[in-house]
Amino acid sequence: MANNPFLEEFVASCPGNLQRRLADAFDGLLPLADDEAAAQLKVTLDTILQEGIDATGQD
Amino acid sequence: MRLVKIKPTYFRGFGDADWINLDASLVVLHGPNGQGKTSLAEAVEWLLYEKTRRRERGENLSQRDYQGSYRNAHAPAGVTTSIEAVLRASNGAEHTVRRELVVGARNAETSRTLVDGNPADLAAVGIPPDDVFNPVISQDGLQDFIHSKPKDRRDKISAALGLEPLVRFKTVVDRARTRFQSSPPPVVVEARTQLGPVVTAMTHSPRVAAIGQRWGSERFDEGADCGELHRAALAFLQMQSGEWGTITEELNRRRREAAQRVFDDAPIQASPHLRADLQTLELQRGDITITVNALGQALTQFTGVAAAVYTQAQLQFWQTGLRMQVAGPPDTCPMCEAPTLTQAKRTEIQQRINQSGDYTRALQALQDQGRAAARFIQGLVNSASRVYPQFLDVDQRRVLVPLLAENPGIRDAFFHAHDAAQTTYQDSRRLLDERRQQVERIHMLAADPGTVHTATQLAAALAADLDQAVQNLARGARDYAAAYATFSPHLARQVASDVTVREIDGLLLPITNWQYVRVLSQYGCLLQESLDVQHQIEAHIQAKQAALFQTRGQEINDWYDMLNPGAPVRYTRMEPGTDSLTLWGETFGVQINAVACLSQCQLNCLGLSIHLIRALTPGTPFRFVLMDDPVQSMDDDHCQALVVQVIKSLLERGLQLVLLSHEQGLVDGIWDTYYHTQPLRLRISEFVQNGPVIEDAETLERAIERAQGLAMGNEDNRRLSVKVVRRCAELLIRAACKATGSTSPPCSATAAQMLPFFQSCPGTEPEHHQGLRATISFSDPAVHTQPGWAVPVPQQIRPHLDRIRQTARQLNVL
Repeated sequence: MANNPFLEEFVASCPGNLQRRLADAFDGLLPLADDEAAAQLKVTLDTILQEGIDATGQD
Repeated sequence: MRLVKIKPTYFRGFGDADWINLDASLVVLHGPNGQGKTSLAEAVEWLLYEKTRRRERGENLSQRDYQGSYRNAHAPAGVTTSIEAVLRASNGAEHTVRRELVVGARNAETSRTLVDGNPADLAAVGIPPDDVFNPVISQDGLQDFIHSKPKDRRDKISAALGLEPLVRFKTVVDRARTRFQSSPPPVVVEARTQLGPVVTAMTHSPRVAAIGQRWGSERFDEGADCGELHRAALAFLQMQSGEWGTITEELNRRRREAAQRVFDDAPIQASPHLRADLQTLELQRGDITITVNALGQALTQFTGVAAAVYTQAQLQFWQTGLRMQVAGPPDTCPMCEAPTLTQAKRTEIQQRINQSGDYTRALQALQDQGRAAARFIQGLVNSASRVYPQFLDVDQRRVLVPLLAENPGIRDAFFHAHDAAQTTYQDSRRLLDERRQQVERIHMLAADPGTVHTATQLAAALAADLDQAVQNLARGARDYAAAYATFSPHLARQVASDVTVREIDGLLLPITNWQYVRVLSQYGCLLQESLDVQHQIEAHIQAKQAALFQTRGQEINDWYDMLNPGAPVRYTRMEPGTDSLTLWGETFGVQINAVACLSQCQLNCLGLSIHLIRALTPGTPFRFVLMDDPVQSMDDDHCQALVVQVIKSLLERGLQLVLLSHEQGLVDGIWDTYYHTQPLRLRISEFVQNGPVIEDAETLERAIERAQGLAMGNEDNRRLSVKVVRRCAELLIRAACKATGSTSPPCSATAAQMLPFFQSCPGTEPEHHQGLRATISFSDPAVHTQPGWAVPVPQQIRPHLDRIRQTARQLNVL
């Protein structure tokens, strides 16, 4: 859950799993510089993709 | 939350500094440029946020240039760079917060924080990790967002309006998505690699060529594509309905048939279990010695007893003779009728008859071992046949020649390897068959004195013969498998180029590789969804901006107008665009672009206004604002407006203001204007290797001299002189408390409130108390507003100053 009220407000106005995942991940990356945070958030996107693949692989 | 004091240690321009007292509502620090003022501003910023905007801006241009720049260049090895500060909360509680620089692998700079001596996030005292409420107005960032690209300006002003987390969120999502697109995860790379040939195959199959074309551009529609593929496969198979499993099975069957019509490669396929079969052969090879040794021992045993016994004919002769002799005289031989059959002779004959029985048993044992060895060799033959193909016949070879006409080199290389393997197999097989037949009749060879030598030679060479044959067979099988592995893809391609096979492949391959379609489809969806999220963040920022420009935009105008009262050429408003932000101004009623047309002084005012509303963002935990040289491009009138209007407004809001400047006039102006608020005046007296030397600029002696000087001036000066007299009384009380170790009065105490603290100082006398009370009463601002009060003349002021000086000397504080 994002602790930042601005991010929380965004997720509330644009609800969605991806929005929530990205906001939560970014919330934990606030102290990092933009490039470093982007590298970490890219890993989050990789993870989301893999989870989706794993989920459909079980169909 | 206010700043009480701060202690930078080996940070930026600071060395091992002492605590710097900031405990006043208004703190002004004067110092020349390049002597540590900005280091102090950055110390506060780094303490709160682990970064400074200056460093952040610099790192966007060159990380290398700025790496390691937080740490003072003279810092001794092993000494930690840190900032420590005492903050006072609204309820009066004080907390010591500390940030220590941690330099990790490859000089990566991070930090750790402590609150009241314990490791903790600053959130523990209400300081959020993002710098939405950044209370530090740094000189280098004052106009950077004005003179930047419209998009950057919009982002920076949005950040100043409190939207920084959202603006950063959008920037970071944008960059992360770009990375996700340019460096996809391995699973996507693998899927692309696998799906390439599938797409090629589909373009050769008319029923699914259109889907293949779309997939080639990575445009997938899993549901629709799946249905279309299903229908195409059913139509090809002329089936009304069918599950995927049935369809795949049927397509595979038809493909096999079609491929076999082109060329049936089953006879030349290398063993699919080659590794296991070769292991079996190797294990059997290990048993050769045991088998051959057993046979050799049986042969040796047999030849040993054969030399000592009669032939079968002799044995029969003597057995018959002994039986006949029983009827005649005792020593008479029944054959020659002479007395030669003595008792000794009888014993010898009987012994040799017994030995002939051993011969029979040894012969039987040799025959058994020969049969066992023959079975063992047959086992080798059987294993060898499993690691080899059936080999091409003439007709098959005739088909392959034109089929691989486009690759004669590949084809001929395979034929060569094939023929070599066939020769190896046949030669080894022939040898094994021969040896098997020989060992099967080895007992017959050994029993015949004319062939016993052949049997011995056979047994002696058998182990080496078998071992060599097995090694040849294994090597030949491996060579063939390698050659077939090189050859088979070419053959498969040629087979697949057949029209029917190609059409079946176009249907079959997308079905059997559907998992890769799923991966790429999901990857494409995620890319699109993340792009949508970017757009949503953008739209959200714009909506928030529009609302903020209505409310906080007016605040910017208010601050700007304080600095530019009634100016006909002025900034008027901001207009956000999709990806830009325009700053508008006006000149005598005509709209102009503020960035292009306003003066540096006006833009300085605008920058300061925007930073002020950022520092005053609703919800901020800070009750202080730190300004680092805020009047860079301002003329005297605007400086005066800053002093009289802006600072007044900040103080009236109950904020603590810490202002750093190299402008002596500005510092003096603030000092004189707000002298009644008991401001703290600091100065940088010099800059040494250990950093700036910061000291209290207002000593008791300087204050007395200043009051004396002002007392000789005009009415305004004398009015100010009275204020300085009161300040002298306050400074005397504080100095006395400090010198005697007594409790000091709170910084917000008035002079009258401070008097009891003075009275409790050891060494002070009643006449001191009485004199100071009179001075405080004389300089009390409440009296100055009473009707009839006149500004004192020098003769009225001077006695108070003389008494303060005399008291200070008596108490040894001057």
